Amino acid sequence: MDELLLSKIRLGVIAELLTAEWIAFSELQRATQTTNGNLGAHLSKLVDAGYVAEEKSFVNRRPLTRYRLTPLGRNAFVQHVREMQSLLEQGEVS
Amino acid sequence: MDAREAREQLEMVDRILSRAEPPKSYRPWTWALIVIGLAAALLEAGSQFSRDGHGNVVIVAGAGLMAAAYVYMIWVAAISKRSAGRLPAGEARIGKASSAVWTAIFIAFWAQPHVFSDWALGAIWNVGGAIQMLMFGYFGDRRALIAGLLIALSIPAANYSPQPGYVLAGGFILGYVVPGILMALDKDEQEVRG
Repeated sequence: MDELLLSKIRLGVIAELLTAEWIAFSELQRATQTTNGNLGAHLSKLVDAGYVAEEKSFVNRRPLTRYRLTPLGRNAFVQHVREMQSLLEQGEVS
Repeated sequence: MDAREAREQLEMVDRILSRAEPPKSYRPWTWALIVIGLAAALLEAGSQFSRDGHGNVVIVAGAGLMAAAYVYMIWVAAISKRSAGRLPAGEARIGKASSAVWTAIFIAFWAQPHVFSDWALGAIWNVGGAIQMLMFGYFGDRRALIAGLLIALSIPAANYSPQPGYVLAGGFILGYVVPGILMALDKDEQEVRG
């Protein structure tokens, strides 16, 4: 399994990004119901791994950061979900 | 991770993905339908008006309205993007497909005087090819984006050429056949497409 996606928040972020072209930091924070610092730390790990791309800009002189899922992140998510489903099936069989 | 944790996480993913389904169907900007529709109708009626010998005033009015609508649409899109918290994937797909269609049509528009009077049968294939390649381009394939622009640009280029048929054919070869060969030779591409 993908170690990076074992975290519920990081998996949630990837799932949210899967449904959108991009999502702003504030919207991701609302969706994942976590603190600024916590979400920022999780996002940094995802960005460093190349799973998520970060775009910074300014709107009305205020910083705006948007995130989008990369093809690498999408593939990692699909693979991770498959492995979780497989684990679940094995659990149900045994 | 054990089976219970896996079940919890899969349920969370399922909740997030189900929530993303649109509560209603997507709608285009209604003002854009009205203004651009009116501008296009003015251009078409104006062409008839002009052919009937009544001058170009209606065409000029239609062109002015169309240009203003385009500028306003670009401005509204930029403002909406800046103020939104997220861009749903479905909306993004519709936007990219619409952009591909209208980019090709906008470029082809400049070929009206010559190409679409004598060469419409051939040029319409180039418009279709351009739309298709631009769609792939707007969905992230840069090679397809360049290819789509090449086919689209072959139409106005043909407009000013003494041999438009060759230019239209060249556009199709460069923007459709060549990228097709390159994609077929691309090993990674074949793996993605299976």
